[in-house]
Amino acid sequence: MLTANLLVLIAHNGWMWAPFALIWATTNSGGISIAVTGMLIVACALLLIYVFISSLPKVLAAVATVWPEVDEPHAGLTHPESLALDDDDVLAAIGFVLHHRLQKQSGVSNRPQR
Amino acid sequence: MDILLEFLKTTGFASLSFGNAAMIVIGIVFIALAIIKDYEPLLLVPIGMGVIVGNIPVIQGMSLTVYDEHLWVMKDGNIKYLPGSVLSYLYMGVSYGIYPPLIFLGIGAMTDFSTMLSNPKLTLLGAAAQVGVFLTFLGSLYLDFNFKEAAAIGIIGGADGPTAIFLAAKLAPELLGAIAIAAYSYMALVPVIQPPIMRLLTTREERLIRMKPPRKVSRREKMIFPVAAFLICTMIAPGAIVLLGMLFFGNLLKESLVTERLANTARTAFIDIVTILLGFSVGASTQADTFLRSQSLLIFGLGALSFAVATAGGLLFAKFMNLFLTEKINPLVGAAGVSAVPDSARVVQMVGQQEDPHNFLLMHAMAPNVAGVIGSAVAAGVLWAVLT
Repeated sequence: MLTANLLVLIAHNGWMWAPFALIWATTNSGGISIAVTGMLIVACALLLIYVFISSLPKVLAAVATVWPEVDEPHAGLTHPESLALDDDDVLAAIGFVLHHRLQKQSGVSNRPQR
Repeated sequence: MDILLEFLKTTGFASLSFGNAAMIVIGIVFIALAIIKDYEPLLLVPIGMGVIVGNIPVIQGMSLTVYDEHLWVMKDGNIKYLPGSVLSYLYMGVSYGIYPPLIFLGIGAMTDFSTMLSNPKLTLLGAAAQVGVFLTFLGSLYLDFNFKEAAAIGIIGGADGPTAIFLAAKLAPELLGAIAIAAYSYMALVPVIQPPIMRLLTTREERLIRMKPPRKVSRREKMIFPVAAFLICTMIAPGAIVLLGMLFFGNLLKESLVTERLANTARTAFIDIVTILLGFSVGASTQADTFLRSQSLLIFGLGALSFAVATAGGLLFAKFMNLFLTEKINPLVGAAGVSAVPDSARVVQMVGQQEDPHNFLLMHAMAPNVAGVIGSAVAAGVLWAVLT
């Protein structure tokens, strides 16, 4: 009903009324307050992340004076059990050894023929 | 002969409606776009095939579609379980909002937050782009959608398929098919929708701005970030716990270095399986009688508006920030604040290189891009919490 009234208003007074009609329709139903609050909460969350990550290097620099970070963290920290098995490499190695032995048994040389 | 005639009545040809045929054509177009134009093939092929499967007319009484759910019925004083269709069980992952957080786990395991950590001010662009979500929410209210429907439509502007599906499943399940298709279609069309808006709202001089290369981020920063960012976001918007919890959990698996196997699984086979199930079941839910309505057209229109406003919001906020910054940022990176990762960042790179082939904006654009993922998840959490 409200929207219908606003459409009549726009029809009589032109499309320049559309933004006011939008505000009217949404204010009456509380939409604007939800939208503004929502936008502020999103902005607030990302602003706090911004503040946190801006200050993190300084905090870590202070921490590093007591507990220095190792230069090669990959080598020291990677857990052996966490590494994914590369089945393709293992299969390729097994295949190569089998192929080599079979060739030896059948007396075929690997050398290029001249 | 009678048996043959009876059989013919049960075939798809006999009961195929115009709507079903139109939807099957739409499904084929999706698959063709994915194969020929390479538009988001990982999403459009499962969705397209799902649309085709969901629009084959079924025999009355046979439980075949996503909407034929299991039932508990009282018969002769006993409670009896009637199983649903196979598709209905797959669709539960969508309707109960299970698949989107699982996809976020995989996204977290493949996301590198280094660019954001190295240039924190770009994080704010991810917030600015969420203006599209809330303006479209108002626009939807104006078009007589109720609050919950308006929120579910608005989140399309977040340009994040899983988030849109998650919120639609919670707030407006009846619109889920249209919202999911709109969200993924616009994500696929990022390279078409964004460049004209980017060129319209920036000058050539602005597009030529070169930014300083990002600094090296320490391992400790990367490890601390997912836990700290999760705490910050969810203390402010607890509704985002599920999505952001999985996103940052996935990222922690990646950055902790002690769970490389889990991170590797989450970003490869796991996310692929969930994407297949999600795409296919969302596609299968778009049956002509539930999808082909004037409401769906409105949702597509509002989705496009939401996307355009979000892009413009990011760009204009980057220009606004430049008024106060000594080291200017290229406003094009603001467009990556919509969270279509990594497509919108790639579009920024492409548009930037059209002006200056030696200007590399991709790394910088990834910062607002991943901030946009966080921003849209927070927006979804806020809307869910407020409207539930």
